[in-house]
Amino acid sequence: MAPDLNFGLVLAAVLSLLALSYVFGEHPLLRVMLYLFIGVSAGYAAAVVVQDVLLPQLVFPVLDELFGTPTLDLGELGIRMALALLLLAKLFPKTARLGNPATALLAGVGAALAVAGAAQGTILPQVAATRNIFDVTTLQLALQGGYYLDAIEVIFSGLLLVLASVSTLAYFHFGATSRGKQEPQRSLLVDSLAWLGSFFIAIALAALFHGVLLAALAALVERLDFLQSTLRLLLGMP
Amino acid sequence: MSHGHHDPEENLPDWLRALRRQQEEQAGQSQPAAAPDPAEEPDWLQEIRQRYRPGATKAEPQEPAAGPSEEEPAPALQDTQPQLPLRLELAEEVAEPPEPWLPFEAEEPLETEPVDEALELAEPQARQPYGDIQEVEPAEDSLDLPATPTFIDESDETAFPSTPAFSEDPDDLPSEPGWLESLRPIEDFPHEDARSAAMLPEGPPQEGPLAGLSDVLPTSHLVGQIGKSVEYSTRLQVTGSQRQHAAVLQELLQSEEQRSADPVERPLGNRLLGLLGSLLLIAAVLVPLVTGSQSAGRPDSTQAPEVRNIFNSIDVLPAGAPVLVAFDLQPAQYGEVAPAVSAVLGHLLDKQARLVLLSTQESGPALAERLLAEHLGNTPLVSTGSYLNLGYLSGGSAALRSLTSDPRGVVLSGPGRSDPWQTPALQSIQHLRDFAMILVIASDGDSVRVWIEQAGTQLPAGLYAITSAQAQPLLRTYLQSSPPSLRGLVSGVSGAVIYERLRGDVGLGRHYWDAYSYGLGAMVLVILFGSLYSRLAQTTEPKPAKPGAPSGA
Amino acid sequence: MTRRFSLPIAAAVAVLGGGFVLVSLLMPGLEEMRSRVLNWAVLLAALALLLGLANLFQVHWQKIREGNQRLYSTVLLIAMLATFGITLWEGSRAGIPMWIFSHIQLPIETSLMAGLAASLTLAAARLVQRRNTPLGYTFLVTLFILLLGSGPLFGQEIPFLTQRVAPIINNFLATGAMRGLLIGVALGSMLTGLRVLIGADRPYGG
Repeated sequence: MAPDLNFGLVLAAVLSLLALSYVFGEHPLLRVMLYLFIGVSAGYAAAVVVQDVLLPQLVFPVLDELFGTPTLDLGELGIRMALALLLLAKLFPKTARLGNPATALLAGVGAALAVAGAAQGTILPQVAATRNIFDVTTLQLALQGGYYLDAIEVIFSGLLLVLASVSTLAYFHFGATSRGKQEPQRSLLVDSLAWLGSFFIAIALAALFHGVLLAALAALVERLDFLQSTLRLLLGMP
Repeated sequence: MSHGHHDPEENLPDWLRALRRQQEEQAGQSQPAAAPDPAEEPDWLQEIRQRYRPGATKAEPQEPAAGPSEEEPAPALQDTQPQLPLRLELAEEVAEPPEPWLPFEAEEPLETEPVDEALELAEPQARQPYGDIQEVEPAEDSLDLPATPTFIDESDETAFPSTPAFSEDPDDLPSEPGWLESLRPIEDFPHEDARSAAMLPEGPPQEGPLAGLSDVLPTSHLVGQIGKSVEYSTRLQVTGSQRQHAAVLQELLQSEEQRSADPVERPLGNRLLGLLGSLLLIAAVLVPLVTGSQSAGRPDSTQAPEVRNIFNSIDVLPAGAPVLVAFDLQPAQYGEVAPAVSAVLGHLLDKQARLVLLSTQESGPALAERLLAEHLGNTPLVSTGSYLNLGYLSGGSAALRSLTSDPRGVVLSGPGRSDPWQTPALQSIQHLRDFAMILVIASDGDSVRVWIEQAGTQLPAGLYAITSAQAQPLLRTYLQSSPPSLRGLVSGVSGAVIYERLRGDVGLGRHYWDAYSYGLGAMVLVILFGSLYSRLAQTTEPKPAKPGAPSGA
Repeated sequence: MTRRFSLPIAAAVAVLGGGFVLVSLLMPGLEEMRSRVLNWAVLLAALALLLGLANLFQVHWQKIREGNQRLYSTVLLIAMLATFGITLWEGSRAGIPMWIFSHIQLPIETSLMAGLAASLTLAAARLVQRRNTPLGYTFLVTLFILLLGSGPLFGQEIPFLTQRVAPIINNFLATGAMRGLLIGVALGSMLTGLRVLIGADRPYGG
């Protein structure tokens, strides 16, 4: 194995040990390492953005316009340059407000895509899934075949899914009725569903936490595997 | 503020009494700044001063109460009045504003506006009642913490009443021209309050997605202690709820600082639990890795039909089919996702698919290169470089939407300014749907959700994903949606193990599986015994002396 | 006055730009123009990221000048500049940048994630101390069952949990609740987006 590779492995192992040591408490070396990490990742990200987006989308077209065969029409190039300059005005406090139209375009486009995406990609399919929650084909087959327990299970699981979805939504239902001078209040049905929904939300959060635990455990397995194999390599063990 | 017949002094806590005594002492020692000599002032200024003196009828903002007015609090209660922001008093005093106190070290200076502009924008009624209230010197040694910033102090509603939508004081109304006055329908106005619900103090929320909607729960019910919005005229452009959040943050910081200033040792049991738990977890993972144990049983694909779907879809791909692999992976999840990615990409390469890599994360392209080199470097297509890495694509949802309809417009050049669209993998691609398969490799469910929302609806072949285990609960809803937005999913180490088993392979997933299994066992033990210990410690913990006093735990 | 003058321009850009994109998604024939607008957003997003990194640089440069945590900020700035320069010069997938990425950034980030395994396990174990409520217990019991049903523990599987109980929780209870959450979040996103599109919310400095 090449010496520089060994150095790289040892460096990676030392940094891994330092990073893992935060489980047992913080120390100055850990902070130095974290600042090193932030610096490296920020520098790398900046270079990637320049190389993969800024150069091909803005700089190369300008150079092509000036010195070679134009790749973008002049109007398009002008708008890109103008937007870039407006946004760069945000760098300086005195000109920061000039950048508002550029950020406004970003916000407006993002909002439009969020609206369309949420409607097409999430709400419609999820509502349809809630509507079609009973597996009708399986239910029919089970009833025809005399598998009544399985049929009950299909119905029960469908009801459970509907109840979980509806009660969770009820938890986030903020509509309320005003009665005279009193504060607006939710109806008893919505309030009861919301109470039930809070338990379903706790279950969903537990499932999410469970996922994060498994992800962290897998990362721990990979890191410890790396550390033990590096140690074996350094000690010349098979 | 009604106290009934109780003396408010009786209810004050000890620390506030001490603070009050100290302030009285200080007030005795140092007189407040002397008022300007009336003789030195011009007549017109004296007249204005006289006119706006507290108690003067014309400038009285509210009806004078029978007891002590809010403008002139009784001496006993004077120092319980809110400390008022000096910056609001006069524009010339703040012509060169001091640096605002921030509750935390801001990475970016908060946007400020010139004071005169702020004062100009502020309603006169909002400033008027406080013009001549003396500043109360804070006690220096009352708390070791920095003084609460003025913009947080202002949240007290007694200090800053809501500015009414219009003035009800007839004296405040500007005089009308005669012709307009003659048009006024004298007796036709209804006598009840004609303001709409939106104008009343308890009207609809003014912030958040529900702003402006009537018949909704008050915001205080939704997010804890968000009060009704109050008009401010401070220099900082912060809203009412931001102010409240800042107050909560300040409180949190104070509690943290108090904790560090008065270090309360964690109970020995807790520290021991932490140490033993961590060591047990590390040992449980390390032992199978060192011994190379491969005894734990692998799950089969009946438990994960979504894994089988992705396997089946790849298995029927024709040789040379273009496959887009979106490497939206964070380095933190690289170790976890690598077994699944190497299993699935290995399968794709076996089927001689043409891989086109792309990423919406800056580190994605580098991770893709590393993974291919580290785990699939021996595959002919990788060793000969017969794949295309298009690099990073910024813009999130905008980039994906653009990529869906016009991929040639958003990816202009490949490595070294080459034209990627002339390569064999991309020659036939005009739209994203022209790819035989689109595989998203992501750390979290949200990245896949954005793909589904922006691109998924345009793709007849659907989307497939390889993710960290943490994405599974969210993505399961898309697997079960109608029609399924996500056709197949391999997540975490268990997904990798199932995929390897489907392929009859022993890969990285199998190598990790025993350590993973032992780690799971250790986690269960630590949580079980830790919870039991915590419950036991809680029941045997001595009750605090006063109700509401913070517990040591 | 500047402020009053500039606000409508920004709001108009947001409303018109966003409105056009939304309309173009519903009406055919506007794809080419939409692509242009989206590509402007792509470019702006990249520049915005660079601005953020420039701000990071500025903040730490200021710290060094003020003598505040000088060592840490110096390490950060040197690492940032060196990585940026080398990566830009060589190309992000070339030898030295890949070496830096693979031997510095990747091990640190993966190890920080690995450390979470211990921290989160201990946090779950101490949950009873901190959140002694029915909902807290629901969370803890669900988590415990899901962990037991995640796979073999110490090499031994409990089939009843892995094949019956955990799938019921995952496929019905958690998925149903997640679906409710997802629909709620999507509705919230739509509402927030629409508020931006009609100019009621102006997160761009208005």
